[in-house]
Amino acid sequence: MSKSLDICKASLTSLKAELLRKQDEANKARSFSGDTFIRPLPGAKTPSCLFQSNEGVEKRNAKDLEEEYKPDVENSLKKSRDVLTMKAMLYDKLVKGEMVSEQDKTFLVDFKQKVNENKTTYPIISTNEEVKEPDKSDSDADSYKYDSGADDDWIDYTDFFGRTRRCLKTDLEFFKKRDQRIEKELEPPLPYESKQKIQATTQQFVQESKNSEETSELVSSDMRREQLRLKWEEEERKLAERTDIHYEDIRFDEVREHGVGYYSFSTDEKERHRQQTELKKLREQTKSTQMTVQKLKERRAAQMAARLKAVKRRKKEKLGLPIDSSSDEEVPPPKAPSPEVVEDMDAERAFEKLRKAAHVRPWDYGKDGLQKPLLTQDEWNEKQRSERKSEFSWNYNGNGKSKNNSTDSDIQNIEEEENDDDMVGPSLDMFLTPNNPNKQSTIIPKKQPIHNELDDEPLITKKKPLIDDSDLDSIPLPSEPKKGAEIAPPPTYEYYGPNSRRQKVQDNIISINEMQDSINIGFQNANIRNKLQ
Amino acid sequence: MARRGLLTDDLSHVEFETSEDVEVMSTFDSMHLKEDLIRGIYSYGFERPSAIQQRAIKPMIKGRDVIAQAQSGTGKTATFSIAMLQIVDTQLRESQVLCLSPTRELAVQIQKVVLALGDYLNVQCHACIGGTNIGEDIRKLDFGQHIVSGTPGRVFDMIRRKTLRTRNIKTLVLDEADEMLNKGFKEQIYDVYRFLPPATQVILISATLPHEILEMTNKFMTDPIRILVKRDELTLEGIKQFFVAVEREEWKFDTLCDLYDTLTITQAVIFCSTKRKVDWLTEKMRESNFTVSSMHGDMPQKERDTIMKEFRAGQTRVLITTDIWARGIDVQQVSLVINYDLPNNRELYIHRIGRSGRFGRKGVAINFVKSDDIRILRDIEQYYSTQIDEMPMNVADLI
Repeated sequence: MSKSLDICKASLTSLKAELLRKQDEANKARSFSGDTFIRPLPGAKTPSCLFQSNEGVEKRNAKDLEEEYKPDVENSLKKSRDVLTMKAMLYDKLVKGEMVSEQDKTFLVDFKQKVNENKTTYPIISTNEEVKEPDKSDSDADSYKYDSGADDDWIDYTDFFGRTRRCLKTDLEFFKKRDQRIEKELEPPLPYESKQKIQATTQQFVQESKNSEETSELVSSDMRREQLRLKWEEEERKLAERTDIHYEDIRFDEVREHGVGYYSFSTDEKERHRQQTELKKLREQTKSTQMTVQKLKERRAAQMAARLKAVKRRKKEKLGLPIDSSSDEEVPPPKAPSPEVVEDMDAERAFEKLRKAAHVRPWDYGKDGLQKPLLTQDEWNEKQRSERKSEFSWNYNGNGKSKNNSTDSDIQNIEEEENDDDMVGPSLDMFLTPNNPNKQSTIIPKKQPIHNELDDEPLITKKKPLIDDSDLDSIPLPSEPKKGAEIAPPPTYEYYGPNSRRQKVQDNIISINEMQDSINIGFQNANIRNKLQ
Repeated sequence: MARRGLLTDDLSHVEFETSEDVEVMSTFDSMHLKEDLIRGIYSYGFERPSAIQQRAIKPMIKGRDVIAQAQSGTGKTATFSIAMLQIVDTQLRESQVLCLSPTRELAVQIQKVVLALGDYLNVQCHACIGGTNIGEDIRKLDFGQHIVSGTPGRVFDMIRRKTLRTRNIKTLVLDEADEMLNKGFKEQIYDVYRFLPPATQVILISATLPHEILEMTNKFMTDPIRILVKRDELTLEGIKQFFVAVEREEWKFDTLCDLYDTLTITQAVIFCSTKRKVDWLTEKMRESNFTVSSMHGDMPQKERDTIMKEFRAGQTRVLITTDIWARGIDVQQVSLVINYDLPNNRELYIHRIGRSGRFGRKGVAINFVKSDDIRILRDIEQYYSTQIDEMPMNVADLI
């Protein structure tokens, strides 16, 4: 019909006339047939030059129209639609649980169960039973609904429990019989009344659950909490059986912001392992790609540099200038960060351990793990005193008693102070302390009685073994003449005596010289000892 | 140079200060941690170390004894967790670090943090707490746990039964150290300590470290590094503190009801002085149709556990509780703390208000004070050099 036509005014007028006539006809036809469809009357089909079409097309169309609008076909369509709406209504009622109680036996679908199930089953059932359901008068055997699918050998049917199943056509009989048997076994025991009751309660329940679905936003918080509780209990039960637990296993739905890189590993051990290896692989890939890119860049840079050099040389050659070879040096590539730092940390830990072992905490006394029964300060003093020759001994019982106490605590303080320094020679510390403003002035009295020098001697020698943790036997005793710092005695008594300001200046000068001496001697001693060891 | 106390028994006049040789590491990368540990740190949400993390992690890893103090919610748990994870040798399935906390909930939380940070290390951490099945504890410890986080009672029990083998323990961590070394716990800590190898590394950590606690540390620590916070810097800027003056005790309840809408904006914790009062207030709130949950030490552990989970999952929004909740518990969404009753001491005040404003977030603390309580509140205000104003009308805007 879509031919291009020559359009003239005359033809347009005739077209209009034709249109009007058609409309008229249509009106007439509508009033005549009494239905909503506009049906062209066969008489109106006057072929004109304008509406010529290919042969046979009209016939074909007419045939189509006839078939489509045959009154009985139409009637059947209408009927089926009505049936469908009826059925839908019925089904809705059934789903709501309104009709289940009386008609219990007529339906093979267990609606009590159906309504409890998910809504998703709804469409499946409805398609399966579309045709059969309204005619419920059929016998039980016949009401097996089946629906042959694409394969002719297979057939869908709904079993006693309302499940949609598929089986071979030949097996259908068998399944039917089995279902009947099950039905017989399950049905009889309940008397009618109690059954009614149960149905009533289930109906109620159904209604409630429907409500809760609709208003889930309002009611659910308690329910949700209960569900979560059950879920957590389940999770914990699972955890109890496992040997390895990880973060994901014990999150229990906590609300928490994580970092961008947060990866929620699987709670399944195997899957978790797979994910981790996957990540590792990706990481290595990234690294290797970075490496290659880096190398490529370096090579390009090197090539560029070489080319530039060549160009420069050529230029110079052209100009007749001498070629200087000074710029030939290559910059060594930057070294990768060495694992030294980690080792360093380990070393520090080891050192720390030693340092700690040197000091026994009060709460550690008597532990059998102690490396050695180290002497306390008092015990050490006693030991030294008992070994000392009597002519050098100090009278501890007489008037020196109070002083004795104070020196003891002094010694302890010095001992404590010692632990802070990273193994600097003890003699240095001894002399530094009084002048060092950082130190607590309360700890070490600036003025020390001259006899203190004697008491200090064993102390100095004692320090090393405490830190080295070597045997007591190797500790050089003060009676051995050569070992220990040989410090010249102070030239004047005033050094330790009560000092005025003028004397203090002098003290300083002396002590600095002396300090250097003692440091040197101390180092020498240490060297000698090291060599001996 | 670490400042050392005199060895005389009286340390009460020594002023403890932060050690001078504390290094500051401004990034996690510069701390030379295990690669997988760094991964765990970043994925948990830390990007830059907090002040305490910058200072304390390094000496802890070095093996020094450390006394660390930092404001609430600034990542103390993560600090020692990171250090512990760095120290632990995951190839050796033996207990290597023991961490003790005052409450079961806190021990479980520490386990969670350790597992989160150590997720890539596949570290094993067990929460060894009372109120749970002993048989299960024994089984779990038999498998071998790298880190054990627990409460003193159960841990000691496990050590005595030789289920928790202490031979390989390198480090003892006392979280909320001041509480752990208080009268109630000190004996138990001593009992546990006696089973550890001598000269075990000891780490003390807390937001509050009163002087008397610092005095006694030389009994079980060797030359510790101290990282301390002066008390006038102990309250956080981010936590605004207010009070509501009520003339009579009964009015507190009405005030609370008025505030309920504000409470539920995010999550809130209400502190009462006793367990009975918690029960009473919960009952009363429920009678008035307010949804609240409650928790205290007299509840069975299972229930406590569920309530914690619900609160962490955001399923409940208002929690009425005792000081069992005052220390260490970290729920990010808590932005409001109400002191229905004032705490018994200054330290607890800091801990309680620290339940809000976690890791840089904003928080509000509201104190209900009767006329004779105001004096106590003023004392707290002065002691910490902080500001506690009367509650403004627009308090909801501050959350």
